Amino acid sequence: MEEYRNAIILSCVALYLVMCIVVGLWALRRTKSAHDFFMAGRDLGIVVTGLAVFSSTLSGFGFVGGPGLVYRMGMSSLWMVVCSTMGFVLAFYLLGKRLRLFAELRESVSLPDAVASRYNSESARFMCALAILLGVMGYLATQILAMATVLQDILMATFGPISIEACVAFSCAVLVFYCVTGGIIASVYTDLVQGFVMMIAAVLVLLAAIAAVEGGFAGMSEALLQDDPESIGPWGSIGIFGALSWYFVFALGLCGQPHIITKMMMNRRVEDTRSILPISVVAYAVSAMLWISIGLVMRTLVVQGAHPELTGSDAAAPQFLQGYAHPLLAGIVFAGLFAAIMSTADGFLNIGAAAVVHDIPTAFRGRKLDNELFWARIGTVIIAVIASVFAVYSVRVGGELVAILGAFGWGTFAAALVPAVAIGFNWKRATATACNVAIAASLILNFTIKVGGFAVPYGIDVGALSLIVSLTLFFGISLASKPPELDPDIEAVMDI
Amino acid sequence: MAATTPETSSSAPEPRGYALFLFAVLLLLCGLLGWLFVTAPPPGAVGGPHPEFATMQVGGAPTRHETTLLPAFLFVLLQVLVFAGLLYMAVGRRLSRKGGALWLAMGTGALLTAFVCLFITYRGFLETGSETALAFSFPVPSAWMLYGVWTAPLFFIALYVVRFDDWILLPEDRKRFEELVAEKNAAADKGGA
Repeated sequence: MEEYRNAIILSCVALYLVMCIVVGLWALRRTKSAHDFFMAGRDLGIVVTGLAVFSSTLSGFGFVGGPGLVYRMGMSSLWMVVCSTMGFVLAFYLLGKRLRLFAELRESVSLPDAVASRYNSESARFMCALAILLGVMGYLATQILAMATVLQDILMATFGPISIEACVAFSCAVLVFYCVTGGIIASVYTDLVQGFVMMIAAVLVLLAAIAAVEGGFAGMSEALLQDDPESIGPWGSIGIFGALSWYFVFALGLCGQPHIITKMMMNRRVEDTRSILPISVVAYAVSAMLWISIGLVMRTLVVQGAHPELTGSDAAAPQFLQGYAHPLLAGIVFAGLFAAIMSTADGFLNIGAAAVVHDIPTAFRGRKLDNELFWARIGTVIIAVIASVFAVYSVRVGGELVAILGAFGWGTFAAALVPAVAIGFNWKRATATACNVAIAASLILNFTIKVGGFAVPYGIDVGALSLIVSLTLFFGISLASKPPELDPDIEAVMDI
Repeated sequence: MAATTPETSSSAPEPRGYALFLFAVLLLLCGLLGWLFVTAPPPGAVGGPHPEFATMQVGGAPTRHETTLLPAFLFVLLQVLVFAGLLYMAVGRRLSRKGGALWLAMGTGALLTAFVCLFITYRGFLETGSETALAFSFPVPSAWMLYGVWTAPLFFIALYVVRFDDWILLPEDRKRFEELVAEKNAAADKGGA
């Protein structure tokens, strides 16, 4: 079977991509309005929403970057994983019910829509949409680039040299097809399949990883303890403050990820959140096994001299699959990798399109565009094309630009949107001014530190720093201001 | 006109205490970060390159954390207080029902206990280094991180599922919300007529 390895991998990936196209065509028939396109008609079932929330959380970063970080830094990046339970707890306690109620009461089709209703402020809508758009462009470009890079590796093994531009164009075409035809309905139903693929892939990889090193995880720990005890200690190489700042920004920051929390506005019944939370947590925990196991096993094998040093840390997952996984498993995991990337990218594409064709025009014109569904589809294509051009341009100039903006993503969303949404929707005293200042301050702080290349002492994450600053400003300004007057229905729904 | 609602939900005044508490904790966090900005990190605080493999980093001597353990514990303690404050803010008005405050305090205590055990065992890890004992295939402090810190919030998830009808969405909440939607639809129909 080994001689068919590349053909098997290619077949698994092709099968998966065909499935995405079929789902897109199916969802086309169910998408009749902008409300369907952006909010899935608020008619999603429990399992679909639960898996959509989880698969949007675990992006391609979790399948490629995550194992790479464990290989490079040891246990440090696992703080991004162990924080997930607390992250989901905070997101569901603070927003699970609240966002769904707002969405139904005010017929919101996007997060900025709900923010504008909450604060009765078009400037708050604009700031929220701006933060989303900036984060989306960087994040989406990194996802498209990751997808194209993996595709290039697979195709080159079978067909010989192929350009990255062609791979970007092909990956983007599939993504755009199902996102344009079926909008968020196609996105969440592909997420459903993507979620199952990711879980199966993770369990199989865990078993393969345990078998790859004598003694399983205990054997890995023993070997890494002999090489560098700190790498297998709880903080890894980055140190205690770096690790704990990741815990903070990835736990609390989950409440500010628009592609994740927007899904909380789409379930059929408010009370479904009771079941969605455990589904999302369990699915994430299962899939995160891939992150943990591949990173540790590749670091161990290299340290033991059983595998040559990797060319780069991001090669950890592909190298493991090439060297230690059965061809069929490698095929499933590569399909899972595409699933992880696409499930996040389609969410970004949808919220980005909402920001461009719904939120920003509404903020300036005071009313939405005519024929919004048509413009939503056009907006989706335009955003995907810009992100693709951005990704290709970045490769041509050295890849730094997308890397900076990609890293900017989670922290930006966290610092900008946690105060405005997670706190603001639970605290009537919060003001629109505080919301706007918190978003602006977080964007400026994040950009200045990232683009300026300033080093934060003790390895503290920039996103964590920005989040603490924006939260403090938000509370301080709101407490110092006159309590805002809320619309009666908003006040009533916040009392629920 | 706003409808009258049960005392546990609608018209209950919003507790100002949670916001003030959170603001105070955040100010302490800012103070701690400010202190970190003005103090010199110990050598190797953020690790360094692996002596043999260029694509890897090492943590180096565990002594790098000897002087920062206490401020780091304060950092995590303040984080847990922020999380707890937010959870109380989310469901605080309903906590008089079925011992709610105590249950949330127990969940917070479980998370804090996992961190305390992690820090205590890490002190031992600093001394034993490569000779440290394993628990469930990992060095003891790492095992606390994976099996303790990761799983402790499951308690909150259990509470969310079990107490959903008492804390999150009460039957009277559903009724009140249906009334709100009906009022809005009636107003829209009137406006459109």
